[in-house]
Amino acid sequence: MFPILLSLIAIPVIFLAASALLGKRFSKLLACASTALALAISLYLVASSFSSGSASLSESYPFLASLSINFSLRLTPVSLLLITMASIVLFVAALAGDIGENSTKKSSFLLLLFQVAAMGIFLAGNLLVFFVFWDIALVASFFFINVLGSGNRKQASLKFLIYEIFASSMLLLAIILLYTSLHSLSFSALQNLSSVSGSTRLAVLISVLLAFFINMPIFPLHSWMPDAYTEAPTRGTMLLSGILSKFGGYGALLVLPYAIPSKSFAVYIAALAAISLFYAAFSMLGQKDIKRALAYSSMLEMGIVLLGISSLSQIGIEGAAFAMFAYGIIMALMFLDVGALFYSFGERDMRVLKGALIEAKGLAYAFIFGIFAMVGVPLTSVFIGDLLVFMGAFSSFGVYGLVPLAAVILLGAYFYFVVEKSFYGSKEHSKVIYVISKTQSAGIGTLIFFMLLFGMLPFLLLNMFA
Amino acid sequence: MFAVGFGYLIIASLLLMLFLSLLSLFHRNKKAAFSGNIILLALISVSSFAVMYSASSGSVLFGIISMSAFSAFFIGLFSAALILVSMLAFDSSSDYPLFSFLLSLAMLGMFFVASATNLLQILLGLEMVVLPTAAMLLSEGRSRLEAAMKLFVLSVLSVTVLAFAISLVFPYNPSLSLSSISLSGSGAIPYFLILAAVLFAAALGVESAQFPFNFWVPDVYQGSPGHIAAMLSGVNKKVAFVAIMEILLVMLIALKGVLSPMLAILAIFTMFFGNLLAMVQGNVKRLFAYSSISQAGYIMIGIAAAASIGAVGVRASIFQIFAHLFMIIGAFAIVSYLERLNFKSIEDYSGMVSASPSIAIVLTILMLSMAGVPPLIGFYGKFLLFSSALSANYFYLAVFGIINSFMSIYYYGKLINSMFIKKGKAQVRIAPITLMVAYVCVAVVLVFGIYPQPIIHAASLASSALYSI
Repeated sequence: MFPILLSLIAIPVIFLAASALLGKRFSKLLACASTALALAISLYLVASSFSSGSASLSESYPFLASLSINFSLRLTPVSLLLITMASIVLFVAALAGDIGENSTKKSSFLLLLFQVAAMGIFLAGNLLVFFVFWDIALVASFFFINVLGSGNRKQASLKFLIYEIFASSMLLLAIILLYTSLHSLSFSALQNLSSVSGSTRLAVLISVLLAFFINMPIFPLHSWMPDAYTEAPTRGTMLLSGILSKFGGYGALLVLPYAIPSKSFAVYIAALAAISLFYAAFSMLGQKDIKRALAYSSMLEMGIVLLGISSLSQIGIEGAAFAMFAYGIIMALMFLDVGALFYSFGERDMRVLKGALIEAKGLAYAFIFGIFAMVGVPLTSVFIGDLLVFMGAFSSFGVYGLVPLAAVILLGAYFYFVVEKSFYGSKEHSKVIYVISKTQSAGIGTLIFFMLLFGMLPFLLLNMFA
Repeated sequence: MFAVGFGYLIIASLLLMLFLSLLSLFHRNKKAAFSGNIILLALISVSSFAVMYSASSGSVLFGIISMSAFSAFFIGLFSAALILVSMLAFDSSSDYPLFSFLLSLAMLGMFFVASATNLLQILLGLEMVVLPTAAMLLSEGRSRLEAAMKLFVLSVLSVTVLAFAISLVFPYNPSLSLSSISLSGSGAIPYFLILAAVLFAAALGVESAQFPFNFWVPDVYQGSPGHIAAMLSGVNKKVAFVAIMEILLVMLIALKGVLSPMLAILAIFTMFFGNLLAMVQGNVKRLFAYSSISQAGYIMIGIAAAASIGAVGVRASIFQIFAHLFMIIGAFAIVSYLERLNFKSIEDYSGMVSASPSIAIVLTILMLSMAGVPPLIGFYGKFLLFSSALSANYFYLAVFGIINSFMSIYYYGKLINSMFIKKGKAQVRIAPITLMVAYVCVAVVLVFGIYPQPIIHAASLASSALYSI
């Protein structure tokens, strides 16, 4: 049988080598080709699992025979959702994300490295593979910020590195604890976690919570996030907010249902998720920089994802997965759009964006669409994700599970004012019209297309859960 | 038979190397000495690895020399490392023929330690390693005098303490052989044996840079030229670990109830000492000296675990010894070369990516590996070490190890950050032979980081052979 899962990882590795060897001229082309191939494969997988009504593939290759750990990969409905999202975001980032960049080679190289990592994480069949790719993603993101970022990149990237390495150290602790107590690292062995002694289980729980909450990020472990998202270049921010933050969400989705000792404990996690998303919403209200505001809205969305996971109900967890899919695409869209606006206007301060609706029509309308989508207007996939999450939360926590909807309303209200104050306002006698490049409009178009496609036809993705 | 044949081949090559370098000492022929060294060391390395993977064992020279997977692994590893060290020395040593002679002596000493069957052999072997190293440092000129004196005095002190410890063991083990001492009668541990164990740990702790005995390390490393710094941290320190394994884990294993917690505490203090002081260093070479101290602490985790659970802990330590050897030789190769070009502090390194992208990338990979970031070899070392600590029920040891590996990212990150600042700087050129050493190290770090199974397998073979000396 064709090793289709391995090929999803091997393709970017081959392109990575080619990109390192070939010159500058080919780098963008290689990045686009590699991500387009991944997108094609994942859409093929979506199509085939839609028709068969299930998604389960697994591949295993000999790796560490002495430790009886294999290089195992597996495809589940959740991982299929996430690799589809990741390949859409990566493709658009490769195609359109290099706005105003002058070192395309480095950026494309890092993008391909990130692609390897993202595919590896979402397809990992055991925790060791998960961890290895987790750290590759981290290093790629670090260099995205450190080398290609804007003004304050050095400090932001160091902060990012220290936080994320702390997260990965905690993850390593959890992995070693699981390895010595379960003697296996595969995700399916996590079911036996209940047989492990209470103190080990508590240590595992605390360390995975720290690791994934830093990555997502969840209040109070988020302080790396606004700086990193703001200072990263457009490609980097798309990958960070679209994909990297989902690593923690995906890990939490895999591990927490087994690691949480009881239903009553899940309430605390749900409460933390609620605190985190209200914190994000209120912090967003004070922002003048659109990129920073979007960073907080990404944090808000990860709070919703965590709420879905902590409901521990089938529907809530499916909802969390679908929400991660939708939020990944929408955050990529918003950051791409803001990146292009920033390039045209030279400012991210929303007061300077006055008249954008006239001067940069396409970008402004895409931004407005993005706001509608973020708030969860029907026909967008965010709506489906939010709906499922809040259904799960309602079934587990009753009416209290719906309280976080207020934060979504705050988000909508805030961006309403952004649009009204900046886009609709007009500058005096400005006759400048900004034209965005074809690749950028193609990228934005692709994201909007997938946003609407899976929003209108969610069963394409939900059929395989069953 | 296989092991015996190769054992004689190794001994013959060692003696030939000693003879050839003695000749070149008189003929002052640098190139001949260099090529002789490389060829013979490569021969030794290849034949040792052949012995190891065949997993055969035997004793050579009337039972004095034991050839097993354990000894073969380390003979092979050390001779491979000395190839790299001689390549560095070819570039930076002021008197290569003399260096080559001293190197041959040191290699002979390493051979004795790795294949020892007897305590006196370890004593002799260690002396043959440390004294030639001090002499090497001394031969590099007057400016190295201070470092050479420190190294010499500390080494002599440690060897003396080692001799005293051996004399304490004598009543319980009159043959001084390395087979484990069995306690007669009630099983109560005699105080003299405990004192001997403590003194062994102290004497070998000086060589292997364990906490209270390692204040000499940064000064000596900083005062040494590249090849000697690489040899001290990459090879000599590891020889002391081999001796620790042979003495404490095999001969004195009856004392494991005392030994294991003692070594665990040693490991914790060493890691924190190395990492905390590395954080405040401005000088890059000192930074790597302190980081190599913390790595010695990590290696000790596995030995502490091994004292209570055996082979799994030894395997982890052996793997980490392999990993750290290549990481630190590569790092010191570059850092010391740059020191000669007056790149000393972290500020001097800023803009390295413009001055020489290959140096910046090589150092970054080596540092990420030291920090334990996968898919580089350092990660698997830490994975094995910390999981062996947990299997030995040392939860706090694993946690402190992880805290330390997190702390180390602070200073590595600071240096990486500084190197990747873009600046219009004059190009830096590094001698091709030094760069080649660095590339070899990076290749090992990458290849065995992506696929570590061969080394884990080798470490398993070596660790199980240790218990059958």
